[in-house]
Amino acid sequence: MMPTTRMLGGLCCAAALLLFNACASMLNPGKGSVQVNSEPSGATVLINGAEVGLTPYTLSYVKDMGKEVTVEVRKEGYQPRTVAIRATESGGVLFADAMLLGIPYIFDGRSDALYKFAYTSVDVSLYKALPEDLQRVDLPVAPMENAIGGGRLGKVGSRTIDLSSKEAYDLKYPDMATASVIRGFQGSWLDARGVRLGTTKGDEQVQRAKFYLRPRVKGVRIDTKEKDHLANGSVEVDMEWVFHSAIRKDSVLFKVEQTTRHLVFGTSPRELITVGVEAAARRLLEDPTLNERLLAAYGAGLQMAKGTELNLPRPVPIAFNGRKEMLAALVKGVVTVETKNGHGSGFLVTNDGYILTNAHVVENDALVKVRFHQGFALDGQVVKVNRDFDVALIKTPGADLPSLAIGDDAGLMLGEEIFAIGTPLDEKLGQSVTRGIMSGRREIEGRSYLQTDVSINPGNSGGPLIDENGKVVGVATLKISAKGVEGIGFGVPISKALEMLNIRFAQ
Amino acid sequence: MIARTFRGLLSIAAITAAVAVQAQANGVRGIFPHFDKTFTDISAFKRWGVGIGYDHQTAGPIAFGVEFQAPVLDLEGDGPYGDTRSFSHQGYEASYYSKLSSWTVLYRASYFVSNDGSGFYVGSFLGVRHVKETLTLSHVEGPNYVYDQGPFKGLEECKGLVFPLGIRFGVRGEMDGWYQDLYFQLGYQIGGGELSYASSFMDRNAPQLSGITYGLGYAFGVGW
Repeated sequence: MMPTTRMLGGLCCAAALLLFNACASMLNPGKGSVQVNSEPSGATVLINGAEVGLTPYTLSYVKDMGKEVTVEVRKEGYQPRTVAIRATESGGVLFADAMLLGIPYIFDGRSDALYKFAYTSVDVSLYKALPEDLQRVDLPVAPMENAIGGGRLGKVGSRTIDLSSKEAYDLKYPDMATASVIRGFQGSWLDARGVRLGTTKGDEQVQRAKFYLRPRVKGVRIDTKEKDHLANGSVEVDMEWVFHSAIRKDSVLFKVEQTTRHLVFGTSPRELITVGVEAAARRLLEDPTLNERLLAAYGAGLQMAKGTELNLPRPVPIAFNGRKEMLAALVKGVVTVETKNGHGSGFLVTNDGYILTNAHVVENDALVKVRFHQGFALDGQVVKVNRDFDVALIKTPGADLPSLAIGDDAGLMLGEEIFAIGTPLDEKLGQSVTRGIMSGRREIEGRSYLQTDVSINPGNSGGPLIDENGKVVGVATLKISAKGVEGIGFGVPISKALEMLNIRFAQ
Repeated sequence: MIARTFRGLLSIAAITAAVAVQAQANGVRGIFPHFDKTFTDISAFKRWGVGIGYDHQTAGPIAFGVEFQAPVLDLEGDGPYGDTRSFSHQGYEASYYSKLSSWTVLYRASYFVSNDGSGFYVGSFLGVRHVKETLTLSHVEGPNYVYDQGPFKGLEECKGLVFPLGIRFGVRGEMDGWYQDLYFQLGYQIGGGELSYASSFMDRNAPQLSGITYGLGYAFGVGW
């Protein structure tokens, strides 16, 4: 049996009716639009790279924009921000289209009305552009302190957030929050790193930097709406940035109290506090005086480490006739420094018993035993230590002691001969002499070193590096010790050692 | 009527061509097997079909396609051409070998749940299905031992045209350059009912086209 004309006509009418009823452009005549806001407002908005207007700006969707629209916000003096927002197709309309054999899609597929943005507003906070010519500062950051007593932290959608909520995870684990602070400092003039005070490595980093930062979070106010498990709104964080001196860890150099409001858009609720703290850290850098204050604190710390100026009498150095006698004579000015835990080397820089050595030789001892080449031993008092540069000064009683002459390390040529005298490995090997050449000048972690292939072994530390003229050009300090590595030793230049102990010789 | 039908088919072809302009991916599919419930008395699974099709995937979750299907293996009946069918009229009793054939052209659209052209989908189909039965006379017994064919002809046939319309569910898996599709469809054959022979006295034994139709199949496609 063939279909009747009436049947086909009815079919066509039904299809036409459904076709027109299902068109997205008829069902959904409003275009998808989103409001682009910035703090501060008046920023230029670029959509997919093309400038379109100033914030607050209402962006209407046009299909040519593609499904992912890049919104860039720029303002003079501020760092640009870029966010991507997705335009989604109306699944319900497409489903209806498919059920109607896809025929309405011919119209809907080209219609802007089929698409809408997932959000009604895009809110971005802009941060001031940071000057690039500022001197870099090393900043150890101690774990963040949570000074929020308790109570409500705000809301995410209809949920109330407090310290026990999973969104406040970072506040329970200070290391996580500290990582947010460090992220906030990234790309700036601050070289921030997390440290644990009370550990050897942490204390060393703090010592070197001269100060450290302990962030304190005093309050958090979250006000966001939630859509598709993502939060949009604002996070306000009250921070107290406490800069402590490295010399006395409980002393406070200065504090910065700050409240930062950060606009969030499409952020996971679990990252709200992270993002808020990161934004607060970023905002701290906008303080124009911070760099200057930290550099001043570093200078003060450096000065404190050097101690007060010490004027020493210019010594009468050991005399010798020609190079043949030189080393045999100079060993008299080199001593073995015995501590509770071992021994090292040192050398006399005055005739009245001032001895230069490494800080790591004397460690934390105030009194050491100094054994001379001539066979006698005297008690030595550690009078100055600069751990930053690993140099120390010991004073022993006595007069007319054999002192070495201070040379000019700046005039040392590459390849020039260098001698080391010291007590390697065992005290029985006292005043051993080794020879090498000047291999180069190095900067390691901000400290100057003379590189040499002269043999430096445990016990040699603190001994003199002597040039071809019999004058001290450096303090043997360390060597690189690894399988397959030989002949890479380092000494502190004598000029630096004297400078860092603030020693002057009378004219 | 035929002109009207062709106009309908032409409209579908035009729509398909228009959609192809904005298609984001295309593919050609081979279908085997495909089973269709076409006749009331014959199981869908006794007629094994093959097919070929063309697919368009839009940038969105909608896909379109056309396909041609036809049964190639008929497991119905025990005669050399399929089933044997008996008729009686004016005292004559005739036995025919029956050979059923059909082809279907479908236009279909799918909505993919996952929005990326793979995974589960639901959609609809509309098409045209042509069915034909060819009867070859096997044996006639006349009244009072009359040895002639009586009213029965040596060759008899009936044809029909129906429009299947319905929904299709499936799952499509995609790999680089190729895809496969397992589907089930359910619909109604517009214009179905009893077929007619040229000799109308045979009609009461003619095959019946079912109203509700269902089908399932597997397709393997290569895309570009």
